[in-house]
Order: sequence, then structure tokens, then C-alpha cells
Amino acid sequence: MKNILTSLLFVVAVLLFLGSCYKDEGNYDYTDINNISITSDSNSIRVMLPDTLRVNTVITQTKPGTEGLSFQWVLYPAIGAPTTRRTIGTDQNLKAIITEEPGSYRLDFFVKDKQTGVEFQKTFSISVLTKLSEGWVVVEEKAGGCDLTMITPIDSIYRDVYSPTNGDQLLPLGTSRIPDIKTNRGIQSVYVLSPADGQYVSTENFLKVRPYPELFYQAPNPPKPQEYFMNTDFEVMVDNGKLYNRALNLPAGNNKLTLPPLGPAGDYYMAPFEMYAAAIGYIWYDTIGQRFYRQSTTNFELSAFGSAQPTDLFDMNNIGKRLIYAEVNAVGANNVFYSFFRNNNDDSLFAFSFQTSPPTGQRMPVARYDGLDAPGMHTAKFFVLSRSLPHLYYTSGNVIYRLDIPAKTAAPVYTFPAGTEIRAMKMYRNLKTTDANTNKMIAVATLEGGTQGKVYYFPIAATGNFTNNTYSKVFTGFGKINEITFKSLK
Amino acid sequence: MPLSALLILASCKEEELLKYDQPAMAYFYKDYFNVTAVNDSTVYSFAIRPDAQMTDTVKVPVRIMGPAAAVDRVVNILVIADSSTAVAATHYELLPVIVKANEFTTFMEVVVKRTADLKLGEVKLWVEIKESPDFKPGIPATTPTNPHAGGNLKYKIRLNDILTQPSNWNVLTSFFGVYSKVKYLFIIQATGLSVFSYGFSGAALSYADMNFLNDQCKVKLAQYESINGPLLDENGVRVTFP
Repeated sequence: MKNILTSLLFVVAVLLFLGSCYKDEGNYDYTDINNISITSDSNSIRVMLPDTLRVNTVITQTKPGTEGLSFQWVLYPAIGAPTTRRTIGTDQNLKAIITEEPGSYRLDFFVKDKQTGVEFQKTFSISVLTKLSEGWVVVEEKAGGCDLTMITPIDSIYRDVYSPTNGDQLLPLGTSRIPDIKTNRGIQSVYVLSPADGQYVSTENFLKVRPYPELFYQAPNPPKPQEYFMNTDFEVMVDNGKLYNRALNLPAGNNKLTLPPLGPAGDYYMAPFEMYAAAIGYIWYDTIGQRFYRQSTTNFELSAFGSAQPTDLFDMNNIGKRLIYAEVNAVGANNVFYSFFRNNNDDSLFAFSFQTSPPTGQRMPVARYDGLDAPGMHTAKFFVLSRSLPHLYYTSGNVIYRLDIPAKTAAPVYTFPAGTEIRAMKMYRNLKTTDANTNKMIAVATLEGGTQGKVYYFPIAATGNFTNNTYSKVFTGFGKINEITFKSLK
Repeated sequence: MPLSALLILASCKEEELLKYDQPAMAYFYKDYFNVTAVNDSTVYSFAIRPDAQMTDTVKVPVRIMGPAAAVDRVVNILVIADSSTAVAATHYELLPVIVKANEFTTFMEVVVKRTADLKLGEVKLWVEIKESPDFKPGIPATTPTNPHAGGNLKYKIRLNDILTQPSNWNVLTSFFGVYSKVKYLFIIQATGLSVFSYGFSGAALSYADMNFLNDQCKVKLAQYESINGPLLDENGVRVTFP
């Protein structure tokens, strides 16, 4: 019995082995699939609530099947894991009521050939907006105070949006600063700063949430808010040249802006310009000592930079000039900053650039340009540094200048009518990473004829000049504008 | 077959709820999360109180084992005479410890008194829970283990008018650095606080709060040094803060 079983197993094994030698004749019936292409007017769509979301598509097929197509539209948040996917349509063209919160979303459009089961997909970027969720926030001066107006991405204007949610109270007269609006840990922080006051307002409706003193453990007295910066988890309120800090990456619990750090060399008064690099923290220019300091994000203490070498182009610890403006030019692992100075005799202009993480063999100072030929820059009020070119835009009188830093020469890029007062100038920076216009458009607020406030959009060409040497849009009907700040979608 | 049927039927027997059938007991409660209560002792120093304050009350949590009762009950706490150096009526007064009706917890309350000799040295008060008509001594000595609390029958109160290191200094070092009496007194003056409720669940102070206190100390120390020069502690070491 055992021998018979062994023989049978041997025969089966031999048959299986020989079976592997069977030649595949390859007599298959291949057919081309129906290739489907999907097109639409735009891949990036904004919907202003309570409008419906409408998307029309054109579908072309190479080999239409007899059973037709099926469609599915799926909406989900663009940021984070798409845990809340919602099917909002099953037709070729979409017309859907949006119940999602304002924010950035992705919309997947699936088209399936019912005969073959082969599916094609196209993805859209959707911005769900309210009238206050995204756009330029404009601070307008009224009789007795200031109010806010929104210019939305679809060019709608919503006027006086602060006072109705704040018991008809206006912002203090002279309110002229809304620092860059950032989002951290799901919270979008909107601060509104006045000459002797400040407040934290709701990003949803600009409701005053916290008065200025409540932001601090020990509030500055008297308050003189100048700027607020947030980078990763590190906040700084600059008040009267002092730095009030807060880290957001702390265990839960009470957390306010703490006391300013001590000056390593006595008193200091920091210029309120944002210079931050993840590798070393904040960089400040002390207008008393006329030198740079670095500020640790671990304990917020200030410290000097390493000693200068004889070959260095300048000494970070001993500049000896009056800072006019400073900003980052190139962002990355090695940030590059430009700082602009006038000498103490006020008869020369300078541009110094430095890098925060010098490659091996290089030093922190990168370049210096002495003797800039830049009309009106001594007294300019508004500055914007390009993020792609070594160009600085500044305003003087009714003129916007562009300074070509390596060439050390500035020239007008746009001149407003005589008598125009330029009231604000900002670079368009949308925190939405997919926005193609970020850092490629400058917004300018003016006061014309003494009473007419306007907001202009100036797209920037690859050369650094304004596209077609003029603006692309202008918004009118404003009074005296004190400030414009872009508010990204949360 | 009959055996398996019996086993199956036996499994259907209803089990009675467990009930506490021991006599009522009382013990000093040791909260795992409250580092100041983890130890079997506490330090009370008049040195961090205003000069005018001559008495205070030290409260030590007491819990019972067993059900609550409909009447007030007494916990018998006696002084361990051969281990104590504090003098009754002079340094302290031990108040009656009552567990009120329908309650499971109470406090041992000891009125401590400021006397001149406390500036010269520390006195100790050792107490122990003894049997009373209402309670027997409960948990003798157990160490809290997360998430369980512990208990003890003895408790020590150290009483002085000298600056003494807060019991949770080990979690304060990242804000205040190495302990010294001079530094601690400076911290009290700079912050207005002598007790730092930090480092345990339910603590009153957050990490950011402690950072602010650290900043306060640094600012005040800089002001002090600008006038007086470096502040040296009792060991001759310069006072600094991290």
C-alpha cells in the first residue's frame, strides 16, 4: 500500500514538472480600451457660501461603449488625511450645495466606462469661502475710529465688517497695522494693532476676542504695539522695540506672551522687521547698538553672532548704521536676508545681505552694496522685497520704485497721478501653496484727491517690472486707508 | 454525560456582588499625582510667610475604608511622643479629626504656631492613626503607583521659620536651577510666590507660567546686579537662573 502511494505521488510530481514546459500559444483577443479625457474651464474653483458649487466638464472618448458612462464627484479637505469624503454629485456636470466649513478642499471627479469598468479621474482645487474668510483686509479711517473692509478673491467688496460684530464700536483712530496672518495648529491668528492699543480678533468674523493687555503675563505700560510675527511655533509681539515671546509647542495650560529677554549689552530697541530662519531662530537689529542679535527659540534669549573674520564683508555684531528695512529674500535651508541702511550722516545708502546657514567654506555675510542710487529711499515708508530676484520695491511720494540691488540703482516702476499719497504696500502672499500668484503681485493702497481711497493690484513680470508697466485691477470707493493685509483661507 | 450536565448547570449559578465586610478604617491619603502629598511628611516654614503671620493650619488628607455612615465619626490621631520634638500648645495644636456623616474624606488639621525658637532650628511632629470606636487603623504604608493612590498611618510635619527647599524642587530646576536658600528667598521676592504648584496633574501653574516666573527672576536679578553686583548664595556661589 505504501509503495503504491509513493508511486502515485512521484507520477503527479513528474506531471506537474512537465506541465511547466507547456508552450503558451498566446491566442488572446486584445482590444483597445476607451480612453476618456476630461476637461473643464478651470482646475481651481472658488465658491462663496451660500452659492452652489458648479463645475461643467467636457468629456471625449476614443471608443465609446454601448453601456455609457457613470460619474462621481467626491469632496474632501485638502489638508490632512481625507477622513471626511463626501459624494456631492453623480452627473457629468456638478451643481452641488456646499455644507462644508470655509477652507481648502479637493474635488475628485471619477468617470467610469460601464462596459469595461475602466475609470478615469480629474482633481480640482476648491476654495470654500465666506465674505470674510479670504481676501485683502483694508483698514479704513472713519470719523472717530477705523473699520475693516474685505476685498475677496472674486473681487467682491464687503465694507465696514468690524463694527457690526463689535457692538458698533470702531477700532481706535490711527489703527494702521494688521501683521501677517498666519495659521498654526489649526488656529488662524489675527491681530489688529493701533498706536496705543491692540487686540486679537476672531478670524471668522473679526469679533474682538482678547484685548491687548490680556495677551501678556505682564503687559507693556504704556502699550506701543508695532508688529507681531509667528514662525512655526514661535510668536513675537514687538512693542516699543521690546520682544514679548510665546512658544506654542508647550504642554496644555495657560500660555501668554512672556517678558522681553534681557539685552546682552544693556538696553535695546529692536527694529520691527521680520527675520527668521528655522536653523537659528529670529534675527533682530538693535537700533541702539546698531548691530544684529539672534534670538533663540528655545528660551528666547538674545545673543551675539560669532566673531567676524578679517575677510568678512561686514560684522553682524557691529554694523554702525541706521536700518531702513530688512526682509528675507530666499527661503529654504539657508535663508538669505537683505538689510538696507543709511549711514549716521544720512548721506549714503547701503544694502547688506547675509545667509543663516553658510555652506562649508562660506561666511554669514554674503554681499554688501555701498552707495545705492535710490531716490527717496532715505525717507521711504513702505518696502517689499522680491522673493525671486534681488529687487526691493519702495514708495516715495506718488512713485513706486524698484531697486536693482546688485546694480545699486533704483528706477520708477509706476507713477500715480500727482498729489497721490501712497498709504500702504504689500506683497501678495497666499498661504495656500497651490496659489500661483504668491509673491508675484503687489497691492498698493492710495489716497487720491485727498479723500478717495483706492487699492491697486500690480502683477510682477519675470523681469521684476510690473506686467505691462501698470496695474491689473483697481478697487475704489474707499476713504483714507491706513493698512492692507492679505488674509489667507484658514 | 451526567457529570458534564452538572458542570454546565453549575456555571449558571448567580454570583453575589462583592461587599466590604471589614471594619471601618482610616488612613492618611497619598495622591500619586500630587507630588507634594506623595511623601509621608510635609514641611511648613514661616519664613516664606509675612512677618505678622503667627499661626497657620496644616491640612493633611485622610480617607476611610468602608461605607459612609449616617453619623459623624471620629478618627483617633495621636502624637508619637518619642519621635516628636514639637511641643504641644507651644508649637502646635492638633484639632479633632471628624469624618462627617455620609462622607469618605476629611483632613487632619494641625494649627502651627510661630515661635522664636523656630528661627534657630526645626521641630518635628510625628502623628499616627490609632484605633477609635469608629475606625481601626487602615492602610499601613503603601507607595502610590500610577494610577493608584497610596496610604499610610503615620505622618510627619516639619516646622520651622527658616527657608526650606520646596518639596517639588526637582521639577522646578529647569526654571530656577540649583537650590540655595538665598536663591529661594530671591525667587519669593521676585515672583511673590513661595509655593509652585507645578509638575503634576491638576497643578495650578502651566509650563508657560513657569517660564514667565523664570523670566521675572532673570529680570529682577539683572536689576539687582546692576545696583549691587552679583548676588552670592550661602555657599558663596553666584545666584543665576537657567
